[in-house]
Amino acid sequence: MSSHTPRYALADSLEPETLAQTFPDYDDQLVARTVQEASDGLFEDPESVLPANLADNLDNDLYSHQADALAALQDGDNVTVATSTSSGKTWIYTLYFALLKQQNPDARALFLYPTKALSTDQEKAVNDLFNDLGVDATAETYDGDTKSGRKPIIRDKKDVVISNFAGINEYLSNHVKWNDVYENCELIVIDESHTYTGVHGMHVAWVIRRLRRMLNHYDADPQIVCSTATIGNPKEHSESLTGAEFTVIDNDGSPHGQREIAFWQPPVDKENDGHGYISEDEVVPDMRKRAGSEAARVTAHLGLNDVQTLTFTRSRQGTEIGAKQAGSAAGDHPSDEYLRVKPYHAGLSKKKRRGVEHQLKSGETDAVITTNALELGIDIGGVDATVLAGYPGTRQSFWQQVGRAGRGGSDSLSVFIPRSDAIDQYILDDPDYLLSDDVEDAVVDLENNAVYARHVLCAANESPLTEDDVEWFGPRDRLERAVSVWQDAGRMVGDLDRGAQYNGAPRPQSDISMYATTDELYDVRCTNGDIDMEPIEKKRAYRDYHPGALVMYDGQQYEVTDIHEDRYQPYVEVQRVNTREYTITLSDKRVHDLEVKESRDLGGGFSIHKGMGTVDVAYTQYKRMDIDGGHASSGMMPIDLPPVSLRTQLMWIELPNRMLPEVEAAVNDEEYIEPSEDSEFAGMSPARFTVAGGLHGAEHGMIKMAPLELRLDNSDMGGLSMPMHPETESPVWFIHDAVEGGVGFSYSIYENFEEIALKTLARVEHCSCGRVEGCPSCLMSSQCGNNNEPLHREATQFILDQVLYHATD
Amino acid sequence: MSGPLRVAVYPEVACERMRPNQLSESIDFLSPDIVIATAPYHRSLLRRSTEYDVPVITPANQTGTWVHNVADPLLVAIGSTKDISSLADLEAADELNPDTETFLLSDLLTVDIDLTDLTTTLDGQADYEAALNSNDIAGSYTHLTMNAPPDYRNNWGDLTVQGVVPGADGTGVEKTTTITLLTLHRNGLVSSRDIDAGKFGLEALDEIGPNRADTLRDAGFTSKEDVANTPPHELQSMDGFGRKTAQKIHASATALEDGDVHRTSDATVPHADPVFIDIETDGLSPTIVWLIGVLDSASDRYLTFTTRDPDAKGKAVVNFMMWYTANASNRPIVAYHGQGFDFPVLKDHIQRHCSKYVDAWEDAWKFDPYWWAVKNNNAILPGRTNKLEDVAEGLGWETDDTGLTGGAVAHVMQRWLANPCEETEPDWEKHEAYCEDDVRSMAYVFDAIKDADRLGGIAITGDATESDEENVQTAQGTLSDF
Repeated sequence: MSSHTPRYALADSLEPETLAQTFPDYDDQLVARTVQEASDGLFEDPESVLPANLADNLDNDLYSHQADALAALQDGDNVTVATSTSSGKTWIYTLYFALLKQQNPDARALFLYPTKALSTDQEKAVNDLFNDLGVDATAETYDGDTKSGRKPIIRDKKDVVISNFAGINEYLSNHVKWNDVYENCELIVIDESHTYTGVHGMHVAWVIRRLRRMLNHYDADPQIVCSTATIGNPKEHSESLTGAEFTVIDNDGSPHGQREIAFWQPPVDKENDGHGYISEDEVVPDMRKRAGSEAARVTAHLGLNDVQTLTFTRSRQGTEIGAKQAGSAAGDHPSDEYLRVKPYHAGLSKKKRRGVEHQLKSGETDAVITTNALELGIDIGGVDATVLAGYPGTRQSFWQQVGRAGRGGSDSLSVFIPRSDAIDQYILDDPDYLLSDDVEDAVVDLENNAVYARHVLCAANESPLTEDDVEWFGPRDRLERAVSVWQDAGRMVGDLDRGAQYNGAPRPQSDISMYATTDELYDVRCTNGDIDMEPIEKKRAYRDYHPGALVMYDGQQYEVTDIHEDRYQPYVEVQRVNTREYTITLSDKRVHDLEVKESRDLGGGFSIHKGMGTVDVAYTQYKRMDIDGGHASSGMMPIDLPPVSLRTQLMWIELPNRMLPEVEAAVNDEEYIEPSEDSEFAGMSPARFTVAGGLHGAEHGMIKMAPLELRLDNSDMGGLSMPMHPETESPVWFIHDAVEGGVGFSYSIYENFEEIALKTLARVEHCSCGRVEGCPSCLMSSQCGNNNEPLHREATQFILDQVLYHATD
Repeated sequence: MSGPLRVAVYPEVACERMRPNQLSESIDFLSPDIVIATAPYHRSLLRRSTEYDVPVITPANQTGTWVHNVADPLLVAIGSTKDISSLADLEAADELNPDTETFLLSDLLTVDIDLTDLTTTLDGQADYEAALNSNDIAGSYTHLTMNAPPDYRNNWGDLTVQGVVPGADGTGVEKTTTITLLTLHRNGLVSSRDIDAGKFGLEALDEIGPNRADTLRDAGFTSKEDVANTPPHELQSMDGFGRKTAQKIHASATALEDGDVHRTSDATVPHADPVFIDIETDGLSPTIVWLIGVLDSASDRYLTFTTRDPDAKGKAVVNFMMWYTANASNRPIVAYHGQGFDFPVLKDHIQRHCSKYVDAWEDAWKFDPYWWAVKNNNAILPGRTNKLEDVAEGLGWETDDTGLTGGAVAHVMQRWLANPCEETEPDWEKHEAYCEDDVRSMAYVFDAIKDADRLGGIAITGDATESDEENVQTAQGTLSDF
């Protein structure tokens, strides 16, 4: 414990206002505050849901949601528990298994986790719990790291087998060896199920269906528990993921103290302020100090005032730099004390990490700057305050980080410091967004045929496909088509009536890459260090990992030096770098061969559609951009790669042709934008160029804002806008998935069109940049293949306004 | 009438990687009647690689028609659909035997699989069929295509299409150093056998890859015999050769030369008189085990358990278990590759058809000589590869090379099950005879292993920790809890 006496009253009165009052050189950073009220928690007597012999071994009462979940499970339901972390979800399924084991000594279970690290943690936790409960059961991990001598013992004897889905995919080919586990399996637990979205989620969804099919083959029908963070659609997600029906338990009965959140806007950086004093209205978010360095100052101030602080930042480098910055900020601090501050991230050795965790718990450190590695799971006791340098991407992460503050049920303070990007600025404009119950939806889509077909092939290898398998792989005609494709490809024999049998090389399961939709995979190799990255799809390699690209992975920056393709295993070569730059890649894109799956007529000539299309892209040039100044730090450099063609899911909006003159009329012609002489649009009239800017801006805006509604990353999407598209014969903008076959993201944007369009409009209207072309906080995108040309804020506003006027009519 | 046609296929990558001595050794070993090179510029390389007068053809740039063995042709290669008219001429002139299948080889058909749209098309089919029809081609043909792998076989309407080139998957990128030997039978059956380029030359020895092979060649070694005649301590003196590696290399060369099994550990094989088995099915994920060949070494009787009734899929398995539990339940069941195939398949089918025998099956002592020798590092088997037929041949077993593979037999069975009739009915006796030969050859190999001297004192066990753990298992009596 620190021995110095606090000079200020901050530690005693941990509130946003006190922070502002005591902050050295305070410059009006506190722009808003919001409060999440305390909760006492709701408790239940364990004996209401458990037999006495188990209930007696519990030291505390159950939270209400734990009791509710146990009751639902005992009714025979499958249960999705959607409550916050540290709300005791592990207890629910471990207790339930203990119950099952008492009723049937032969009962077995599969507990499945998304990572090996989590498996190891949970194995210990589950075994400790069995011990405490006095239950004769053990859990053990079975995965790629398990020694071969151990494997038969676990399969034959261990009550709970802990594993992951990549493993299950492989083990299904040997289901005969697993028959003891399968025959007696009464419970499957899918932990952190919200992490199964996108491409990976699709693969997991099919593996789960193949698993349930084989369990059925062995006459087992286990219950399923999905344990998930708070997402907008827990029931839908669990049901899409597993194909089974679920009861959702989401009334969180765990207690917590009052959480105050200060919205702390970094002051204007006087170094950027070249013209001296400028008015408040003229400040563009980019002109402000960086969130990271402001966070360092806030951390120092809190830490020096005896407020133990945990600061979250987005990259590993950010933690190291942040710790240094906090240290020097402490040096400049009037209190003239020494700040004990440490960085923490997954790249540190296990020993170092344990050391920091311990120091947090014991109070030997005043502050820790961390990545989301400390967001959940690991026991650090609780700190007094948290600082968030930038929005972590989802509300769930946000509350998880905030939730680290507060010891026991005490009140806590969190300081949110926005970065200049669109999402952070949106939240600054509308802090209530964070409090809304309507949390982002997790997307799992099963329509990708390429992935489906591969799993159907594996299923045939596990056991010949029959009519009965329509249950798992239906509808019937889709399964028939898949069987027929594989027959013609020489990999299956027979048909659904007699049994369609696998007829190819052994172990098709090994051909499944759980993170990709095609098999054109490129390794990623680092020449001056390690990079532990899954292979990437060729199209992604071309787009994001072309030679010269600067990329971030797991908090570390890399530059792509080369792509090697003329060999058995193609790979991308990268090297570690550390620059304050990023790259913008230019491309030529076309969308054609549209196949509509569904449409909605919004009226007034506006309509939205979803379906399949072919996206042809040629990546032509790139340039380096300075992160701080936002200007180019290099000229255009060529990319020497052939074009790619992607057949994928997309959504698009068709506007009536009269929109073109209407936009022209709506915009003040003094504000028309013009193409430059060397631009690809040279020669286009300013009026036309402006309208194109409106469409393009709307496309960008929606892609940028989609993460407010859906759990996805903008790099999962791409877009294209055109004043006149040859197939739709109208002005249009497209948003498409970035992988072959699609993963359901653009379809989700179609489903949530109005909400996303509204948020986009709000951001564009409120952006303080005041610029005609917008700025990175509203319209500009670092992923734009057109050099962020043309963009026009007012035109975008007008278009979105018109669309929404009709849509919400 | 001559026997089946042996066709060796040399993909581009294999030719690039192989040394001249490897190429010639491979052609000698495969003794093909025809060699196909996928890359036209390798034609002369391959012709130079053998002293025998083997035709080397390159369908990729073929012009006109090429007929093998004009006297009694089995294979015709064409360059374009126009050449199909010359087929008509051959038929008209009675130069093609109407009683046998003729194989038509070209580069004209490509199997295109589109998983996103869930469609498969045979590119080139329309023009190809049009040419066949307009020329009134009457005979029975199997159409060989350069653009599909050797295990590809499918009927497209009236076209029976068979692939030829290993690694050909329609993407145009060849990724493999595998050479294929196709055996084309007059009744239309096609067997194929893949063999990796690295099984020839010095690279065929254990622990010898391209780098060490270069080192050996630079030091004057030209053949495996040279290596076998050089004691390990001399081999060790070369760069990149450690003590253990040198011993392994020497042991592998010696085994190949001697035609003997070389023990590399003290682990024992089962002493009790084994029951040797081999099973025939309709594929790797079988719906039927239709034949179980059994050699009971205690009585020296050979037994066949079979079912020829598609509606009685379990009969062979049921009868086998009845016999085993009544007569041999305390003796080990031995199958080559049993660990990977026969044992799990039997367990599955016993569960399906006679689950009361599952316990007896589980309790039975099961032994796989391949697993024991190769995977558990207990012995080095002589033979170019560790396939049963090569090992048996390396040990001196003489057999008729039927050219039949498990895959080919499976195809036969699948065809019959799909449509049981006289035309598709397999030649049961022939298959049973081949099975017996396999079982007996396996017994021969097993006996050789049993008789082999222990290389006392030389503990050649590559990775000490892993093998020790697994050797402990084997020393405990080779119980098969795999």
